[in-house]
Amino acid sequence: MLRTMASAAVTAAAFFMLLASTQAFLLPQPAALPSTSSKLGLLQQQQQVSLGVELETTMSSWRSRAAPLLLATPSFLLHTQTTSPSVARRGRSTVLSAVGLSSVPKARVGILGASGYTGAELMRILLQHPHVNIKYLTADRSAGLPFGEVFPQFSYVKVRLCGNMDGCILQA
Amino acid sequence: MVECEKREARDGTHRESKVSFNLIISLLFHNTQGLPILSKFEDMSPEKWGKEVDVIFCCLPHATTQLVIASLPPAVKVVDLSADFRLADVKMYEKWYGGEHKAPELQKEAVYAITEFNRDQIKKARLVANPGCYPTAAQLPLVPLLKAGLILSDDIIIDAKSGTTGAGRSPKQV
Repeated sequence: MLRTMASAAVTAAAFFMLLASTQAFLLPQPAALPSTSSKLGLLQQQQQVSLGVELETTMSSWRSRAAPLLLATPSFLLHTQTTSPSVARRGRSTVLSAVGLSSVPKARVGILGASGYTGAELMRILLQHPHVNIKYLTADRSAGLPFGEVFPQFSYVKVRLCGNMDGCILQA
Repeated sequence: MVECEKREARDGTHRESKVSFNLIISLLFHNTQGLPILSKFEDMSPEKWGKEVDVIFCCLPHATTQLVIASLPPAVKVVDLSADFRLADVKMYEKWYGGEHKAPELQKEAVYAITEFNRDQIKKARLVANPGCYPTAAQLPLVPLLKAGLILSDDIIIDAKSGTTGAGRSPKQV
């Protein structure tokens, strides 16, 4: 996983051109994104006078066009349009990886003793990692239970009914 | 003035946001593959671990990783979050944790993972020993000062506090 993380940075830079062009297919018009960011308190640009009206319209068009995609995209998306170019690049890379277009392979992770506090904290971090696929969780005393039943704060994550992520069923 | 306006607008948009909370939450967490059901460690064979995963995080009670690690294939990287491989000196481990070290030969290759000090070794390591919270809190500020010779090493007092979760999930008497 460490190797994967290191190469992620390299990929982000190397594929910048590709990412920039691909982004047009993945995301709505650039103008829509800053508006959304501002809703979350991230926006630096404050020139718009009729901010409220503008947000209203861009939000509705943005959501209808991108809603299915967004459900599968990470928080980093929201940082895409912030001031730093490096942050913006990383954001695009993350968006691509979340929709399975990144060339960075996901590290397959097993967690032993996942039902303790350490496991819960680790899970919180790994669930937000774009290059991680959590494949196995062991917990001898809680074996057979979904992780979200041991830690209700994770009950929003769907249960995978097989070890392998390819072609397996997600429980609602 | 501009700064002031910015802050006001930012707060204002935040509060009057018409984005649903559900949308925000779904944006914050992007794991779409779901989580597997918890299983027993015995159900996995070393071969299966080797075939199915690249890295294993051990969140086991202290002194358990030393036992378990023998049944993990060498190709799989291991990040241990217990104290089992934190002390490079096996004798020191036995003194502090009061039990025999069960995997002294693996201790030699374990890398003590305060990233700020050991970044390059961690990248190459097969076995990573995640440091404890108190030692991390103590070392991060002290090591640079000691290395630069800015403070004396003979009279250092560290006063640190931890939440009860630091003691783990199961109730125990200290």
